[in-house]
Amino acid sequence: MFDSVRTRLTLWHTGVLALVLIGFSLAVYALLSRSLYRRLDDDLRTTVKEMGFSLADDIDAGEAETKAAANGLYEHIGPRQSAAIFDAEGRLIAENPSLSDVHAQLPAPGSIPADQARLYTIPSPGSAGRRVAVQRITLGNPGRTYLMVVDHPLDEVANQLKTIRVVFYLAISVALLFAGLSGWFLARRSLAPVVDMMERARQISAENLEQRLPIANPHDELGRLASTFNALLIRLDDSFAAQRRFMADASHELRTPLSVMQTATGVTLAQSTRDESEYREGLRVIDQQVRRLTKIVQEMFTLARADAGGLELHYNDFYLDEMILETSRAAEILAIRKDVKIDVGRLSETPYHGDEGLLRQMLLNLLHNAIKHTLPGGSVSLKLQQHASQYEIIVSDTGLGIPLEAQTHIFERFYHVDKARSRNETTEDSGGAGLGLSIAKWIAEAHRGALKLQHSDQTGTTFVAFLPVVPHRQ
Amino acid sequence: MRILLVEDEPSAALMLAKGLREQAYAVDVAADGEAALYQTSINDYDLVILDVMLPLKDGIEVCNEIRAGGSAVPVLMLTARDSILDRIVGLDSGADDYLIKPFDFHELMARSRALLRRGKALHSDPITVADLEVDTRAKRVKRAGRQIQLTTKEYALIEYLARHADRVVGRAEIAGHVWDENFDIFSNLIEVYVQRLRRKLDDGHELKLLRTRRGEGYMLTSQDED
Repeated sequence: MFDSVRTRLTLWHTGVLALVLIGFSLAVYALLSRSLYRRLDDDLRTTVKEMGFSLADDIDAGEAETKAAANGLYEHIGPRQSAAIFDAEGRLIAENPSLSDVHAQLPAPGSIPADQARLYTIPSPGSAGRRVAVQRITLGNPGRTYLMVVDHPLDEVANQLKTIRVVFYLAISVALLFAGLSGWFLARRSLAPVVDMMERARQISAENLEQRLPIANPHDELGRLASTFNALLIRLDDSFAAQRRFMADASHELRTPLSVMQTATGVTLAQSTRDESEYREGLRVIDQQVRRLTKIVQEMFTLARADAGGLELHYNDFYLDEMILETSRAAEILAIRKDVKIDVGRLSETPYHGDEGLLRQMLLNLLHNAIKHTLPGGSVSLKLQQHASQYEIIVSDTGLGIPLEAQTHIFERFYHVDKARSRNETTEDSGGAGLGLSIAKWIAEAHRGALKLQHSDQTGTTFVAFLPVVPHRQ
Repeated sequence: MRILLVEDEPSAALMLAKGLREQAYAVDVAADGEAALYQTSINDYDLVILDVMLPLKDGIEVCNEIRAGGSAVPVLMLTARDSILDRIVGLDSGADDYLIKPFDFHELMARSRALLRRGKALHSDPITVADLEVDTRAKRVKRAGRQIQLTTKEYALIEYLARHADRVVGRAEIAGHVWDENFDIFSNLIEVYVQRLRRKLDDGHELKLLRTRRGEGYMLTSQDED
């Protein structure tokens, strides 16, 4: 239960308040008790002093010792006080009222200072005890010494202090109870949005990521927490959506060749016997689809590894111009079959440091893409230029161009310009999964470069791969 | 029974058409949405097998337009998209059935048969005319319990006539439903097939089922001529 922030807040709040209240009460109590006791002492001192004056006056006036003493007692004693006068030998001269228990404990006359009252407390079991003032006085000629004693019971002051203590106990208890309860409710109220957020967050899972936390007040701390959490949810939702899209697209791409294969086997096997040529035809279709499937799976695997950071670049030194020349020769096979010419511009010697294998694949993807979209009789041109700090590999074709609305999407995964999977009937290029350009773009970017669609209209399309002259050195 | 197969994937179209033809269907192939609409506008198909992903016009649009044109031809949609929403959109566009790629060829055949049965009126399977039985699933024909050996085309013709038993079926109708677009309307191929069928069906039987209505066409019936 002490794990709850609400409880801890309440305990802290109440605890601090308790310390303050108790400290304050102790101080007030101490001051009050000191002043009450001091007033009592002052009263006793005054009484004893006045008794002395009265005794002196009466004896000067020639009154008898006992009478003078009795007068002094009678005239000056305050309510609830009692007093007595002794001679130097400790014999009682007068008292009012009886004070036997006090007098029995009189200090030795020698220990009492002259002309100054001495005060002390006589404890008594069952009550608060008595406060006693004793003063020695010497009168007449020859001087005769008297001891004057006045006392006052302490129970009055003790009762007053007790009342104050009780009042303090009650007041502090009530105040703390009230503070505790109000603190508890306040904490509950201010933490209610947190509980709310917790409940809502508990219900959010991968299936309903579009849900958001409630924001009570966007400017307070909890509101900002909820906003931060919502921003996290948005990012999660986006990446889940991308994942789902990828899965849907990938499954679609994989299903199509699988379907053709299943149809081919189903149809071929539907008849119990067939000519060899018919089996051959079925196998040819299956073979073509297996190649296509292999290519799609390879492309998907490449991208998945690139995404996971599992595709490391193997840097080595090579010549860009040689790589371009070799790749264009590799693409020639496809180009000749489609009756498309590949023109390679003048290439000057260009040493480069990068992943030769990946850059070759990037260029091959671009070339295949260009050849695929160029009509027979057209041409694809390949150039290498250096501009300031970057090399530009320019691939242009004389194809039909990419429709304007498709131009912003061509680097997206699984994107097919022609919604119906632009595909070639040649066995060699049985169409990819629409990942070729995504992969090419990734390769350029992995080299700290870029791949851009520079221009596309009815006269043709131009892609430019930018590669920094000084690439990232490992 | 004449089927329009709309599929842009050349090898898929090739294999499917081959399989369908072997099952005695007359098959025309269209490779894109526009071609499919053109074909359905000039021919009276018994079934359209329609891929969803097509160039020019996709399967959904094609299906919508076929229905907008007032045609009730059964449409079987094929697609590699298997989400529930895709299926709903497909069926709502007017498709009668929906098959997800990859599919089993025999399932495609069974669903096609189901849709063809639904065609005009529900047919029992096998279709019987007197003591003649046409089993459309096994593609076999029996007369008085004895199996009759038929070629694929002969079977297609007798099945079509059996489905429209007791009704005169014209030459043009036969050409449109039993033969595909490559049929030469001026040939006497139909007469040749009818002669052969008559020999195989009616020879040695008292009741002649396959009859000729001069100038009108042919009729498969067990009723007495008036």
